[in-house]
Amino acid sequence: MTLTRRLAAMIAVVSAAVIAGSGCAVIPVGGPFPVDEAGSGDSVTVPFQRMVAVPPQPQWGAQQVVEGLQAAMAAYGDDPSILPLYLTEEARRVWKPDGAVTVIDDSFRLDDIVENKEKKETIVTILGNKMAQINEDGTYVPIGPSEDPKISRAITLVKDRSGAYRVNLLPQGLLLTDADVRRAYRPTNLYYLNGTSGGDGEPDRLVADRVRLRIKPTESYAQTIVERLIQGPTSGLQGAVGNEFPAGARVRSIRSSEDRVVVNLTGPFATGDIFVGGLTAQLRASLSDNRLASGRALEVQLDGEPFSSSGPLIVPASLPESWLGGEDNQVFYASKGAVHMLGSDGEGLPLAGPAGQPGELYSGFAISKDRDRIAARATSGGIWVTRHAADARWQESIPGTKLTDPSWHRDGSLWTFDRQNGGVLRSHPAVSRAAEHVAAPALQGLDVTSLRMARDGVRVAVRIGTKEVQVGALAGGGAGTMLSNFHPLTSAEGDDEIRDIAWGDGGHLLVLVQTKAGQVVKEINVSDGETTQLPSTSKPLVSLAAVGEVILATTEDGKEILEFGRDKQTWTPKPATAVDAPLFALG
Amino acid sequence: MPPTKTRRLRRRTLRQILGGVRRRARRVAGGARRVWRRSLQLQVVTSTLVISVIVVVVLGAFLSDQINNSVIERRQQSAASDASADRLRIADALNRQQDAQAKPADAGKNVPADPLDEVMDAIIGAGGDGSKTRYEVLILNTAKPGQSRASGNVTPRDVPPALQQMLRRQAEKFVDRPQRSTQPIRFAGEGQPTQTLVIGAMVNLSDGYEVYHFFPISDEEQMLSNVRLAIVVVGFGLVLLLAAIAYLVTRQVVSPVRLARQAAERLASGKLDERLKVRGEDDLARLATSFNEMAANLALKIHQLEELSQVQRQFVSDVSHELRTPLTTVRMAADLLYDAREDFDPMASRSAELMQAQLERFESMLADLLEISRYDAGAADLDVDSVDVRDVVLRAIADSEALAERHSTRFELRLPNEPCMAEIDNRRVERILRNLLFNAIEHGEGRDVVVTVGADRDAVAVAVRDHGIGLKAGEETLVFDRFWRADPSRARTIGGTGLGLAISREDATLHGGWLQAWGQPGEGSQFRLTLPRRAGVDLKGSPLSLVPPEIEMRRTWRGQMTPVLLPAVGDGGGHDLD
Amino acid sequence: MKGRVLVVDDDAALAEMLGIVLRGEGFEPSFVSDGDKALDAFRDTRPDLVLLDLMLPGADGIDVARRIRAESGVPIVMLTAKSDTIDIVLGLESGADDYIVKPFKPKELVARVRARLRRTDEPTPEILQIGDITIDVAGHSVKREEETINLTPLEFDLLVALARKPRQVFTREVLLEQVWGYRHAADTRLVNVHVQRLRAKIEKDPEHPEIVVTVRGVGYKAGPA
Repeated sequence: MTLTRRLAAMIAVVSAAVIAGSGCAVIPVGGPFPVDEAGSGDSVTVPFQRMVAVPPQPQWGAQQVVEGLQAAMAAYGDDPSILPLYLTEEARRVWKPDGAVTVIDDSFRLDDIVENKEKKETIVTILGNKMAQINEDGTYVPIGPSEDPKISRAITLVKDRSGAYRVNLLPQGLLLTDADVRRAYRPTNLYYLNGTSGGDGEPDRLVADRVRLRIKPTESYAQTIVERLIQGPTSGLQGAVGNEFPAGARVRSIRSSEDRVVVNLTGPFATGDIFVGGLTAQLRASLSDNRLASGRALEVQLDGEPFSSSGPLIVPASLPESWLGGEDNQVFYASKGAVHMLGSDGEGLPLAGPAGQPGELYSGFAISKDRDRIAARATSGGIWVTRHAADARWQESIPGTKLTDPSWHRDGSLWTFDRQNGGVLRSHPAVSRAAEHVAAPALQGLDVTSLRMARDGVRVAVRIGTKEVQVGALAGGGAGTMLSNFHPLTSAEGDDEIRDIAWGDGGHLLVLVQTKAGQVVKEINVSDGETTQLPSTSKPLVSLAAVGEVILATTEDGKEILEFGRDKQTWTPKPATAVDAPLFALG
Repeated sequence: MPPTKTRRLRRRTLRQILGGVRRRARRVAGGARRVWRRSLQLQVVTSTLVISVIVVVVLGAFLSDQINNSVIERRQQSAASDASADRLRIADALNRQQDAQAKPADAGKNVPADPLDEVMDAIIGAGGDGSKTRYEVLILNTAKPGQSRASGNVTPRDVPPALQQMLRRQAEKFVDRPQRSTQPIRFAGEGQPTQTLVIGAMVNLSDGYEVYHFFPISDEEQMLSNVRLAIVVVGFGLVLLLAAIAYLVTRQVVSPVRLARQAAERLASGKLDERLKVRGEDDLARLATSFNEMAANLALKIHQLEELSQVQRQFVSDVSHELRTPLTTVRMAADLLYDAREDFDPMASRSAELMQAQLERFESMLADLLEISRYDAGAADLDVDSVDVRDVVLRAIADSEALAERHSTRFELRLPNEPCMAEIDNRRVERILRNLLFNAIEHGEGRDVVVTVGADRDAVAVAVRDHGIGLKAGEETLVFDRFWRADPSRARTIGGTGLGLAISREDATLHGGWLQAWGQPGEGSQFRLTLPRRAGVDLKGSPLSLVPPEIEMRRTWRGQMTPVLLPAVGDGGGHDLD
Repeated sequence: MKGRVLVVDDDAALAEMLGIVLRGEGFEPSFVSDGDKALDAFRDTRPDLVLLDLMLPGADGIDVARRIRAESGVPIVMLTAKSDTIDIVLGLESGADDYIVKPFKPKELVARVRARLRRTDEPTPEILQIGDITIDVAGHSVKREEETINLTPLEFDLLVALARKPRQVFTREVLLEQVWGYRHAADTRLVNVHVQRLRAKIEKDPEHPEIVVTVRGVGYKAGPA
């Protein structure tokens, strides 16, 4: 091969390389670009819209200025700079946005433009129906049935030097419409632990605490949630639940990557003896419940470093069931004074031992957590307990004459209300502890007809007479244990009667209300009173039982069990007869 | 004048430093230029590099521009269509709102939600399954309270003022053409600005709803910058690849050439048996073959010439030697005759005298010829010894005394006090000095001959000055030619061979020294011999000036600074004033 | 004065001329023109001095000098047309004591011859000692520990000249004058070559001389440095 030919070959190779190289560079141009769909891929925030406040315009009339003021109030949380523009100097000095937010419905009116010529004032009154208020801790308190919803807020306007209207006097606090709240707030479940670590026993359940969280445009919703979670529960659960996040902790950032969400915390975490299981359960449940970081693992970091020295703290995408669900959903029922277990084939099996023996002596059965004990109210009035065994026998656990039906706590204690003496009694049959009084100052002097401990072991629901249901919490530990934080949940108006209550999952109470028109089963969120009315059935119901999503009821006439199907929103009968009441363990 | 001296010293130091820097820079530049000029490979690789860089840059810029256009264009189109769809929904909702307001305010409980909220929820996907749109929307109505909405974290402050003004100006003319603007916007709660495409338009012109869509295009920007980076990396790699290929290719070509060059250099330095390896049959192999043939021919020719020269030299040498034996006989016979001349008749007696004299001349001419032929043959070698040059001078003067007396010439000696040791060949230097002295006596016209010896650290010098007729311009070099005569018509009085100065010059050169002449008509002439103190060391200057000091002084005095030095002979030129 | 001179030269005219000159000065010349016959002639005539032309037919002058030197210490003066160092050094190393470059004057030749013959005239009883070398000047013998060392008369003269004034440094010129009898410095190569030859005979290690020591830049001296 001559030199020239060799050179020519070289040059050919080089040209080929050049062309191939440039071709490589060209190829991606034609193809589809892998554009990251940031919106749908971002799992730590939710889409939302905001009211944008505009400064008052000079040509606006008094009514428009008030409308503008309302818009500025709605936007106040995002942009507090606009609202003062609507106010006179004096009003700016006097008015404070703090305190509970009053929520009125959307059908408010602006009325009665009263022009006071002497004082050169114009008064515009906002007339509307109050729906609820949002407390500073985020608790959404719906207006009670007895409360008068009508409110009127007078806004006094004056003309400033340029002749434009300015608000001179207005009620303290923010007044938002329901639409404003829907736009800017999200109902959010925060999860706390049913006890404090290092207390009587390790917490093993999460307790939902529902708040209205204002969405902040400058941070992700997840961050808002975790920040709020750190601050602790609302007043309803104050002192009753545990929070593994120490006071003073903060969220540095929450970043979403392809397969995980990194939560970067800072603050006085004692990483050595913190109950990591509880902390991660709180975090996971609080985010997952609000459909954030779903399907992705969480990585918890402390100041950008792995949470503990042993390695990164990864929280799997799904929470272990025992924290929230996983309840014993075996259906039992009481029939003719005996407790039966509803088999899968529809056959009712009487329980072993005395509880399975028919009789007239006991009613108001309650089954303990592991089905090992059955409590019942004897006709004599006391609470008796038997073990679930063939050789067991009834023993009196809480003596008394006018006690409410017993309710098991998940720690094995047995609770009831002494209607005669007006106090809460507790015994612990497993350790043969005698009945004792538990302080419940809020229930003093009330006619408590039913006391139910929730399955999470924190919340307590009481029925007062047949008219009202209050929800409280089991606070404190050891000798300081008390029932407190009671607030009204629902009440029956007029001649309506509340026939029965039953705990569904930890956050919902089922209430059976007898109205003139018929029966209503309400599923009420105990945190914010959000009520779902289940479709009624033509058959009158007498008793409720629920666990998780399952709701059972017995009919008054046929003494059969009806199950509420959530998909079809109908009640369907179960194959069991002569049922007095459906039962589930606990609740 | 010490102050002047120091000042000059300082000034000179500064100048020297500057000069040094400049010199060094020039040297570096010169070195680089030399490397460049000498390396074909470097040239080829560099030009390949330059050309490929240009190609890659042009290609890369073109590609980058194309991708840029297509990506941004696509994004803008899809953004514009998204925005216009949204605007339609908003307009629709606003119309519904007006309808609702138009109806008498029924204060019923079940007031439908604000259509504006509804449409915003629909647009941004709130209340849905959380599939968020990739852009943010701002509905701005500054004229009506509570009619402004925003999604995400955009605020009215984020709207580019120019865009807003343009929209408002359009609105005054009842035009609702959408406008767009791309710029980095720093949204609330974000650390750094995001490149954002903002599309703004008026909806329900009469009510003054401004709708702005904010499309973050940082992803596109990111992708573009990635593409750009990829292009740069690929381009860089390509350039390197090309350079490497060029390097390899030229190496294949250049290394045989380089080998040939090295062989040629070795050949030039006298290694005549240097040959190239011949491999293959390509052009380079043929070059090697031709080179080898050339080398072989050259070697042959040189060998022949060497032989020829050897023969010739041998011949000269042999002739000279062969001449000597009869010359010896003749010489002895002539001596005998000369010694006995008083017994002859006057004519025979004079003949014997003449014969004697001419024989001596013949003899010395033969000796000089032999000496010259020895130089020509390169056979002269030095017998170096460390001696005091003053002694050599004194011996030479002693040898010349007789002649000097005959010419009634006196020597004026200017010798330094300390010894002037130098490594020289005693015999040859004495011969040089003898020649110079004879020459001076012959042309000195009876005036004094000044012999000066000077020495410095590196060299010793002997200057022989006569005050004869001097030399004409241009004769300074001619005096060293063989058989040269200053004036052909002038008779030789001493009977020099005409080879003396030529041999002296050869002797001086053999020492690594200089022999130079100066002369001026009427001023006489001066010959200066400069020798290095240590054999084999190059001379840098001479301790004595070539022009006699008195002449120099007279010139300075006259203010004639023009040619102080007549073109000095040979290597010595220009160093004399150092 | 003895005056037998053997002239070895192939040039008949020069030989005859030499004969005329030598005879004129009172020497008894005898002639031989062939190198091969030179040794026989030398043995026959037992000359006091040999005048030897270097360029001879048959065995050349160098060979002849070497052969004569192998038998006798008689002074040999070379006649040479070549003044190149290499030729002269070669001649001196082969055993010649002195040399005359052609063409030469009759007086010069006679002076050299006389100088070579003169030294035998004046023996003074004297014992010199340098290092482990004992020199009996009158007995013309040199011994190292009873071991006699054979030196040519010239070498002997050189050694005696140095040994008479131990530790005094002799320049080459002084040695030329004292040993060879030259008034003016002619050729220091003569001294160099003969010092080498002397060393080769008397020094234990000629590479590191201890008796005749070189003083750099000046000349030679006897005795340790």
